[in-house]
Parts: sequence; structure tokens; C-alpha cells
Amino acid sequence: MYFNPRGLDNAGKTTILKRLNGEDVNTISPTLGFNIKTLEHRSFKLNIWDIGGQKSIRSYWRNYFESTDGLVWVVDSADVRRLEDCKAELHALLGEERLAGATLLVFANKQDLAGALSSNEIRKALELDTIHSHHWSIQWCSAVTGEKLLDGVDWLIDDIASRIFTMD
Amino acid sequence: MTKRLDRLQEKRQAKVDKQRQGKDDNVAVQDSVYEFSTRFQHEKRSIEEMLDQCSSMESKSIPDQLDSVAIAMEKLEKFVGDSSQFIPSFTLRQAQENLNKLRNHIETTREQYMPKKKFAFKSRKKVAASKPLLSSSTTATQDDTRKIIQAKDQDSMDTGALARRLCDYSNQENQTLEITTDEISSKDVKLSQLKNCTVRIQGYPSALQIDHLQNCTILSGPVSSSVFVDRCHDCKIVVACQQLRIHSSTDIHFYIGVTSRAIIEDCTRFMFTSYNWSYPSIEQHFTAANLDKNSLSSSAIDDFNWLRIDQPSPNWSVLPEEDKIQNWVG
Repeated sequence: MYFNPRGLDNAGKTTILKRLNGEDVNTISPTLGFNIKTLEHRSFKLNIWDIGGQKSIRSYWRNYFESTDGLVWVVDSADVRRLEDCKAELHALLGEERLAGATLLVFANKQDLAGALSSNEIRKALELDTIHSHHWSIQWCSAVTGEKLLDGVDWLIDDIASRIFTMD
Repeated sequence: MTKRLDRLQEKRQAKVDKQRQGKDDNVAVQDSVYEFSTRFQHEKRSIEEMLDQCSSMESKSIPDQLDSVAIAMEKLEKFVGDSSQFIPSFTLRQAQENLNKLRNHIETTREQYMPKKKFAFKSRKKVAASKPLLSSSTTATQDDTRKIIQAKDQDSMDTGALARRLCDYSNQENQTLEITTDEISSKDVKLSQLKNCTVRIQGYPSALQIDHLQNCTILSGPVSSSVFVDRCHDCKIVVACQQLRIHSSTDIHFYIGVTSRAIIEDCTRFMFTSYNWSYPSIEQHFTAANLDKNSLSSSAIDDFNWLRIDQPSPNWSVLPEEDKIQNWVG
């Protein structure tokens, strides 16, 4: 399965990836290019393409959409100020033809921070309920503590697996 | 596209092979179904017994009982989820129906004994937590799952609401703000819309957001995760942290210690030098923030607007030693 974590810079994409892979998360620099990892979970092979979220490299995102099964949208839940920006980027992304049919998982990350909005607040702010073009779900998590990351990944795998199964 | 189809084909083939193998091994499958059903029935009965016990219990011990029920329920759901790989879909469907009935039973019992208590939400959250594991069958159940997850999340975050605004300092002019450990211990701090202010954070925030500052001096103790600076002009920012990102700002003197690489984007006229603030308990704060004082850097900086490596970025330089402020007191 091909997973594409996306989101604004400082959302925690690389930290989620490294936490899932059991690597040290205390030495991560902001991503200048991208990290590619292949992980195994529940006997599924997950190919993860983690690309930096800085404004100046977001235009390159679209070059790495080929054969995406799961789109993982990572949100810094404590960054209230940029939620509008976050919403616009997400909805623009969902319009991408090459992402049609991909399952969307929204991670309301950084729940370890006191100032984090709940995933329900994030759902409203990002207007997730208006999304009908993709299967989606939102999961709160903390990449730093690792909480709920697997719940999200499991949901994503199940959704993708059921889609592929239905095609049979 | 063909690649994708090939991949799907491979997966299908693997699945067909697996199924074929399963048929050869029919006895084993039946065994595992039997095992599954036995254990499922057993756990289901024990949950039902726990619910029945509520009627003969003192009211103060009921919340604990219901919490145990929730934990048992979560276990059972996880068990079904984990088993969904190898049990036939009919058995799985039956199990899911049983789970739904049981869930309703729990809810009714809960409402009967603990109407409108906050605990109810908390435990319902636990129950819902492992639900996604079961949601792979139809779109309808996925929708249901989604609703449950959302309902759960709304409740589980209530506690955060109160603490939320406490560390938000905004819309001030000509002020000196002293922020101490008690106020911010391990919390995230936001500074925004400040003009001609001095902010001294003697503590270890878990994260720091700085936005829209004009002519300010910001001093902060060690930050355990990231610092995000946006739209600031004519400032001095003194901070030690794990990550530092700076956007759309100009004319800033940074006194920084970062354990990874700092990045700037759409910034000009920056000067960087090393972190040199000190206050009585700063050593303890470094330990509390889990920052290694020996691995701090002030010159590992990437400019997203300057990706050439043969020439240095024109947007920042090192602050000359003689211009460096040595004493931040007063």
C-alpha cells in the first residue's frame, strides 16, 4: 500500500513516520526534501513518502501522488492560526485527479500539547463533513507519545483493504 | 495505472492462494472458528454478568464496575478485530451483531445507573476506541464508526479546554511580560500581536508559537519541541529548542541553540548567534525539556529560498561578537 503523509510544515509528518518506525524523534530537522520508508504492519507492506510541508515546496507535492492508496493529512492541532491555510491546502489536494479513490486519514496531531484543539474542533475547522469524494476519518494522536497512531493506521489499512476486496 | 493493476492482481492472487490453502486445511479453519466462538461467547457472558451485578451494587462502586465493563468490551472488540483475518465473514458478521447488542446493553445500563455523568462519555470513548478494527466490511459501518470516533473525540478533549487559553499572550503594547515556570510548565505558549514588548519566559514550554511581533525582545528557556516564528519584524529572539522554523519575517537577531537544523522561509536581514540567556533554574529546565546543552547549534540553518550550496544565503549572516548582547538582565 502507498501512503502519502501531507500537511503544513510543523505538523509532525516526519515525527509520525519515525515514531511508527521506532526511531529517535528528538533529532528530527524540518524536512528539506523528503523521506521514503517502507514499513511492515499486520503483514501489509506500507510504502510511505514523507515530503516537507514548507510553503515553497508544497507545489512539488503533486509530483508524488502516483498510485497513492492512502492520503494521511497531518494537522498541528495547536496551530489555530493556520487552520484556514490548512483547510485550503487539504481541499485543494482532494481535487487532485491522481488522488481520486484514495482514502483520507486526518491525524489531529500534537494532542500532548495543552493548547491543542480536539479532533472534533479540527473536523469542523477543516470542514471535513463536506468531503464526499473520498472515504475519510479523523483520529486524534500524539506523534511524540505515540498515542493512537496505530489506531489511525489500522483504520486506513482496513479501509483500503476493503476497497481492494470489493473490487474483486 | 498498469503498475497499480499489476499490484492489485498480485494481491488478489496472493489472497486466492491463501484461500485455496485454507480449503486444504479445512479442519484447522473449523478449529479456529470453534475457538473463536467459544472465547467470544465466554467473554460476552462475563460482560453481561458484570452488567447484571450492577443491580445489587452500592451506587458509588458502579462507576468502577462500568469502567471494567468498558475495558472488557474494548478487549473483546479488539479480539474480534484481530480475528477478522481468519474467521469466515458470516461468523464475523454474527459477532459484530452481538457486539452491537452488547454495546446497547452497556449503554442502557449506564444510563440507568449513571445518568448524565461525565464518566459515561469517558467510558463510551474507551468502547469506541478499538471500533475501527472492525470497520472493514461496508461503507455503512465505516460511516457509523466515523460518527462514533467523532463523538468520542469531542468528549475526550474537554479537559484541555480550560488550560487552553492560559498560555496565550496577545494584543499588548509597551509591556514587559514575565512568565514563570508555574504558569507554563510543559505547556505550549503562544505570543502574538505584540508591539514594543519584552517577554521573559523563565520555564520550559513544550512548544512555542510566535506570530506578528513588532520591535519586541523575546527570551525563553529551553523548549522541548518546536518553535515557530511567523511575521515578525525588528525583534530579538533568544531561544533554545529542538526545532526552529521561521517564516515571512525581517530584521531579527536570533540568539539560538537548536538540537536539529533551523529553517527560514521568506525571510531577510537575519542575524544568528548562540543562545546566551541564563537564569537561576535554567539547568533544571534544560533537563526537564530533555534538551542536551552540548548539542546546541546556532549556525545549522537552511533557507528554503536559497537551495544553492555553493554560495551562502544572502538572507542571513552571523551576528558579530561585538554586537552581541551579553547581559539580558534589566
